[in-house]
Amino acid sequence: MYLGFRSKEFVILEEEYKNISDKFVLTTDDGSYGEKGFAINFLRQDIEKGNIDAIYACGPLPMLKAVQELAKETKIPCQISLEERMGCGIGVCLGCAVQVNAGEDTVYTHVCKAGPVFDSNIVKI
Amino acid sequence: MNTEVNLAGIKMKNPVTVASGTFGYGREFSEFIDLNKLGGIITKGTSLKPRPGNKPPRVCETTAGMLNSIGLQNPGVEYFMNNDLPWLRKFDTKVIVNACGSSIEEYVELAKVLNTLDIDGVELNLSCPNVKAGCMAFGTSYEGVKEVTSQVRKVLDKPLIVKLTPNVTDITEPARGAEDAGADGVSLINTLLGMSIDVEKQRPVLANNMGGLSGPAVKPVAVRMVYQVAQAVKIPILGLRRNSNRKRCDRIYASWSNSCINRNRKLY
Ligand SMILES: Cc1cc2nc3c(=O)[nH]c(=O)nc-3n(C[C@H](O)[C@H](O)[C@H](O)COP(=O)(O)O)c2cc1C
Ligand code: FES
Repeated sequence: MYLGFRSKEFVILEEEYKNISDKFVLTTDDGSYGEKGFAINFLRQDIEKGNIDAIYACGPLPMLKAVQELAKETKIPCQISLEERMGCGIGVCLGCAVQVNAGEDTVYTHVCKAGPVFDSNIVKI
Repeated sequence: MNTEVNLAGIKMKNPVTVASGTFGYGREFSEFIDLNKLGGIITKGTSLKPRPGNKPPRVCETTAGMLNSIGLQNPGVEYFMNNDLPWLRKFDTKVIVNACGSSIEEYVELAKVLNTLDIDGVELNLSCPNVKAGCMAFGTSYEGVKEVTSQVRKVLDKPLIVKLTPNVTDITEPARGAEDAGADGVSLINTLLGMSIDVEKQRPVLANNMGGLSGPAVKPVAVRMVYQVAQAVKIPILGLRRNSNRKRCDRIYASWSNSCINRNRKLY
């Protein structure tokens, strides 16, 4: 489990995650608590050591983008949980669009019905 | 109680329909409500060719309403014809297709296809604010509405309802354009063009910048326009209104609309 926060005052659920994780890394961007830096950097180190079989990620888009890149580069299976503004939540309003990889074509799927968890190879975020 | 109405030549067992774009093609909602109970279903805006829709974010909450810029994402009329229509036909409800195009030719081509289908009517969407070419561009003037509507009328034998945009100075002008071109009815209102700013990001919330405002916030505008149009044309009016307060909405629309109450069901 790699849990990243901006700084100490944003840290939540530390004990809960620690209790269910074999390995637990908590980071803050400014180093005010836990390890200093982005969680993904610690994940990368462990991938390089060959300790990681799959990645499941949720969080802000820039971080998910970085995770998606990392998974692609290291060929580790990866699933990401997306958020989008929703109107209906049942696939009707087509509000919660996310683009999927479809070559030249622009194709959208919808987070509420098709997701929110997607294989990171499928979506274009 | 007899709730039957004949709206613009479409005989419905009751005057309750759903507003286009808030109900898809009915499949998702069929898990929650019995579609047989509806007088009619107005489909999502459907075009000749599939449309991918706009970039996200596409929706955003506003005070007593929401903005959307879906951009008419739809699978195209051919897909509708082969997949959604046969499925919808299993229910005892009228099917009205919300038709959208980006040029007169496209509207006409689409109308020709729709004329061959087993549907009960067409709602001509001349009012979507979310696509660059077409739609709203035709819907804002007497001449524009009259031109598209009369071209479509020539190839369409089915009941034809023209959906009006509220983004005009005088709503009675496009309404009269529709009537003079031979439309069987008008529906109103579509969404009001609006914009919302994300102050932290210092840019509009919607990727498309602008979007259409709907919800309780626009209701007084809708009521006012139905009132004005009812005085200006003789053809029936569908007042599009969400079912948030049934009693009030019945009262308003029963008094202003010529013949029909259309409640738009929507979840937030
Ligand atoms: C998410 C969304 C999608 C819509 N899509 C369409 C559409 O495809 N075609 C159309 O004519 N109107 C569309 N509309 C407009 C509605 O049919 C209706 O005219 C409008 O929302 C105003 O009614 P309300 O304030 O009761 O929601 C859409 C509205 C929303 C909120
Ligand atoms: S929120 Fe309406 S389609 Fe996903």
